[in-house]
Amino acid sequence: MSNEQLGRNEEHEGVHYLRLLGLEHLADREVAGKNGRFLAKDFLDVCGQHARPVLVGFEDMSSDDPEYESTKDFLTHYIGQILESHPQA
Amino acid sequence: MENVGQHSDDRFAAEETVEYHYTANSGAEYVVESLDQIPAECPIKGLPLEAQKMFMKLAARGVQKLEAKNEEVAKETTQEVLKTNAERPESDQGHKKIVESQKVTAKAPYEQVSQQRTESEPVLARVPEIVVKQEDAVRQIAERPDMPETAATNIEPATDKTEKRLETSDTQVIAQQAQAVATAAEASRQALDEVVSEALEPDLVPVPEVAAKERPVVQAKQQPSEVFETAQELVAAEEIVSTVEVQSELVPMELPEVPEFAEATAEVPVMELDLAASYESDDPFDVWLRENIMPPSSEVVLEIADEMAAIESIGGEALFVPEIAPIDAVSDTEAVQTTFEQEMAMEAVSTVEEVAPEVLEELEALATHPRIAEVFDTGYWRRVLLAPPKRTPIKLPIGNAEPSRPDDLSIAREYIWMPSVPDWSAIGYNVSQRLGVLLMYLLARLPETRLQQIA
Repeated sequence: MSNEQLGRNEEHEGVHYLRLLGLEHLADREVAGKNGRFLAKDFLDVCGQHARPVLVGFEDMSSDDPEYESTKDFLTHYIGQILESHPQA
Repeated sequence: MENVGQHSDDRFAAEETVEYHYTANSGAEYVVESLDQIPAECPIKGLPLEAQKMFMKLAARGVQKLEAKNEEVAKETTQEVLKTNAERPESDQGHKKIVESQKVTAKAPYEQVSQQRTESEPVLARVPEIVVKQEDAVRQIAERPDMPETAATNIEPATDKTEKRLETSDTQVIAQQAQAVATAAEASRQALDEVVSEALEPDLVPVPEVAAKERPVVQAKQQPSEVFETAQELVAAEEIVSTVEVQSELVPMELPEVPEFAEATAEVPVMELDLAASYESDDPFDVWLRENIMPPSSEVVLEIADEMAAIESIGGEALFVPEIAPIDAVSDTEAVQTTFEQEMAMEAVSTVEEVAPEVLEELEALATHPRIAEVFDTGYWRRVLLAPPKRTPIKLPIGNAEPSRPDDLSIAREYIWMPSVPDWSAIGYNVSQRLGVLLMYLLARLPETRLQQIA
């Protein structure tokens, strides 16, 4: 799904989710993937098939949900770890 | 951490049961409803169970959200398209008018012309009336007292011009219509000519030449009946050609001159010949026998001589009949071949006809005589009569002589040697006809005493 379809014309999809998790500072970091290097904000182009539904589900969570913070923390840690664990260009 | 390793605990709560369709990088598709169904290749498989549970819930929720958004976007897109089309200015909807125009244009031209003519006819009919009214109006204006003379002068009657214009217009309309009719007629004529010429186009089928006869040519566009007739003609031509070819092969042989044969057979119904002596004799008839009747092989002749000697040794008589032939009185065949043997047969027939009247009455009785029937019913006769080789001497048992060989007839006492006919079947004789021929031939050459003896 494109940014336009998601109604986020003003913001990059990857950046949007990174910001949602407090990882926007990693957006322009270059990450080494299996098929070459890519920017962190473009991670959905690499693993979007699996990560997008998870992030969309998290976005759909209400901040009042008792599990919201724990889920956010886990996702932030998990995705941040993946992006930061790869060697930086 | 909550122990979710147990199967019952791995499932989400009933109200949170989700179904997550997971497509692995390998392309394999999974429907994951519980943690234990998460495939090993899924990246979250190695995470703690709590984390897997969280991922599953988020993913299922996200999928539903995405699907809902997709449907919403699709609806919005459809509505936007419809709205855009509806708000499109009329100038941009020219295609609709074009379509409508094309519908009208698509009507048959004849209908349009007919309709236009129908609409214009009333107008044309009113033309004289309009002209009269115009003339009256001009005249009234010109005759008005307040009209200056110059004005009246300037006002042209217009009658002539109007009439002329109208006449010209009518002429043009008529000319145009006539031209249109002529054009249409020309087009129809050309189309008809094309159809006719195509139908009559001589798409010839190559037919091989037939000697001495022209074959009919088959045309591709012929009617079935015509083709059938042509086929019959072809078949007839083939038959004619084949007949010509066959006849060309059946060139009549020149008959050797046998000056004394006919007379001899006529004078001597029964010819008792010493074959060995005939084979060595210089007598013209013996020479003719050797050259035409007797087998060329001396071995065969000697065999015949031995046979005859054997016959004579048991008290019988060896009769030699130089030729046997079909008799018209017996056969109804018309396929008489003009072969040498046939010519000889004709000689024999004439001989029989000369002699036969004396024995025909007895022949009728003999034909049904038990002894004769017994002779004819034997296989020996059939074997003799059906023997295909030409010029192979056959022997005919006559009388009550003891058989010289085991396969001879028990009633045979005398033998008549005679060459076989060329081919009985070729001239249409069946077995009974051949028997009749032989019987008549034999009887014609046997003296009455022999006939009575046989009987």
